[in-house]
Amino acid sequence: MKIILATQIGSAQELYHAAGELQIAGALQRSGHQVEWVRLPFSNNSPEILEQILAYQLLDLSAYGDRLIALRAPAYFIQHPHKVVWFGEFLPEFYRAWNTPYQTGTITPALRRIRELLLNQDKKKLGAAHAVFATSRNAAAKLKQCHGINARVVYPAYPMEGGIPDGICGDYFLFYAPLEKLNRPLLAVESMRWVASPVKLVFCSPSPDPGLREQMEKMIRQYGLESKIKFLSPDCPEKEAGEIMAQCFGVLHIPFDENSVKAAWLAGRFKKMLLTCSDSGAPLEWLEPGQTGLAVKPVPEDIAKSLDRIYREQAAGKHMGERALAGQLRRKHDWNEVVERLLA
Amino acid sequence: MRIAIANHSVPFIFGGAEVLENGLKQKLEEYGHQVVNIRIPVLIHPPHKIIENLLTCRFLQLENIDRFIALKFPVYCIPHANKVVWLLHQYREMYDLWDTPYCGMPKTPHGLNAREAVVQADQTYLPEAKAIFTISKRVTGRLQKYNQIDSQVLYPPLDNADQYQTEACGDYIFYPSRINHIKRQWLAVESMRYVKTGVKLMIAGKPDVPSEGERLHAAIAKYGLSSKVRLLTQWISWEEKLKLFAQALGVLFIPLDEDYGYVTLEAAYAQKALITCRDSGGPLEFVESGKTGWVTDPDPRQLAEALDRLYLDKAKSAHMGAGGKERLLAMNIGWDTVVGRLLA
Repeated sequence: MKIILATQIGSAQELYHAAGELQIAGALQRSGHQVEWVRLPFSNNSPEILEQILAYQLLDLSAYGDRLIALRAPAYFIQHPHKVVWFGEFLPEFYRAWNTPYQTGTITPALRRIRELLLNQDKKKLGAAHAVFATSRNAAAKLKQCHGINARVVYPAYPMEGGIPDGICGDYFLFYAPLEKLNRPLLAVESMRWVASPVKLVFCSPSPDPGLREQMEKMIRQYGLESKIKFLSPDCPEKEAGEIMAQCFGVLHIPFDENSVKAAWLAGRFKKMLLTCSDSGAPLEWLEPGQTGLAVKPVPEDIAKSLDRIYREQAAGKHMGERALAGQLRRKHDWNEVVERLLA
Repeated sequence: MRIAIANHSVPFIFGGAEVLENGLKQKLEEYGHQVVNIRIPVLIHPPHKIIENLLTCRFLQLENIDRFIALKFPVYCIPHANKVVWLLHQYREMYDLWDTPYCGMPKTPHGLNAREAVVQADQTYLPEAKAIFTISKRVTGRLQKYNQIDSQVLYPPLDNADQYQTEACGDYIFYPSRINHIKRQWLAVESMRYVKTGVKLMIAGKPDVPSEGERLHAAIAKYGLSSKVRLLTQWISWEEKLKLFAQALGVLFIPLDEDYGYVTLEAAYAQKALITCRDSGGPLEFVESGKTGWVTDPDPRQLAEALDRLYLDKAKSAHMGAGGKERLLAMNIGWDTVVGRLLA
């Protein structure tokens, strides 16, 4: 078959995602398909959301390929008679952050109108697709809830082999998610006020929101947490990033209602336990509470208690990490399977 | 630097533009930059699709990118503050090819509208760029003639140039290129009707559409040229291609008004004399008739004469080939220059 892989190269150029996309192309080619990429830019932060979506919508690829697989949204706005959507997330500002404390902007009548049009269009386009898949149960649940669309879950086949150094433990938890409101870095800082042990927290994250970063630093000074919290550049070379990951107690990942299971995978791959929140969404799908990590209420005192617990019971934390990796290796989910399911 | 390269391509067709796109990405990465590719498919029929294609580009937004390099119409319409155009060619059917049999655009009100839109877009959006480079004097000349826009020539280097070798001249003239009407393989076959010596012709390339290949096969059969002309339409390996270059008597490259033509450079690195036509465009910037090859009218009899000449004096042909390489090396075409100027 001739297959078009359509995606957006947006501001969130997460490496794992780009690598994953190459893996899909590779798996398709190994199965004897011809693959062609269509890649368009997209800006989540621009006020001109509808204009950009129109740009995708105007692209009529009916003349090309037997199938179009739409990866990152809004690639599914591209026109094609045999469109398969693999949905991860679209515009969190208008969906999961909307009308929550995690929304960056303020809701104006104009914004409300844009959202109405967006949701309407989104529902139409997804509804018209040949098939819709979701990258997690949480993503599928949202499609059902917002648009009444039934999507089957196909998890990305993250690589499991290689890059798993032996865990030499440092004395810190790692927070690697971008410093955005939805990832609740302020909750992480606040939690450090309540820890009783000498446990530390290291942020190794991009800071796309300078205001939020300032707020964090102010809070750190206010509470006198300078010796407990450290910032590292997320642009460090891969080897160094691996070491930072390898030497932590565990990963602190406490977003609000996330659609990606990536955090659970990443922690497991490095044999680390995951500390997440009960409302964090998809990471919980791959977490066995008490076995491979902990899920607590999004409350600073509760998070602090768990941080302390893992600091004191290092062996237990280590075992959780080992079990997380063992569980993932048992999963044996690979790209060939992903491709087979998307084309079924 | 974070760099985006944008190309406009026909899905599932791989030609010189894609070679250049991939080569540029690889080189920029070698120079330590982060690079993403933007790929927008070509839409032509019916004519209003061209306008939609143009609008797609104009409505897109490109963020988090320090330098945007656009290669073709209409991707240079994507707005960006640090845009540089390295123009492979304009939408030629709307300009120099408009009144020729090579123009597929209907001369209807819709066709005229589309043409008007393309010209307007070029006039309006090309000058947005910080700098406009083209791949040859040919392209620069057309841009000046039709749009009165100035540009600088920046020749694309040939990848793996050091792997081209030369061996003793064989009996065949090699014509490697995608097979389509405008590359004029049909003229090459036609010429073989008039040769008086034992010179042979070897055409290698993938037909853009199967019918182009079939038509050539039919012409060879019709003129009874099967002992003199070989047509390889199947994919040939890199090693095979190098061998076909190395053992050729000379290289034939006679497209109509080619923008640049890697074949010219390949012939020079393989030290083979090049036969081209007065109206072939790009190759004329490299070949000196009588010294490094022959330039003739696009006439089968004149071409046949040039082919015979190479056959009759193989020593001179080899000498011409060596001269072609010398001349090319003196032009100093390389990635250092290209990267330096595109990122200046």
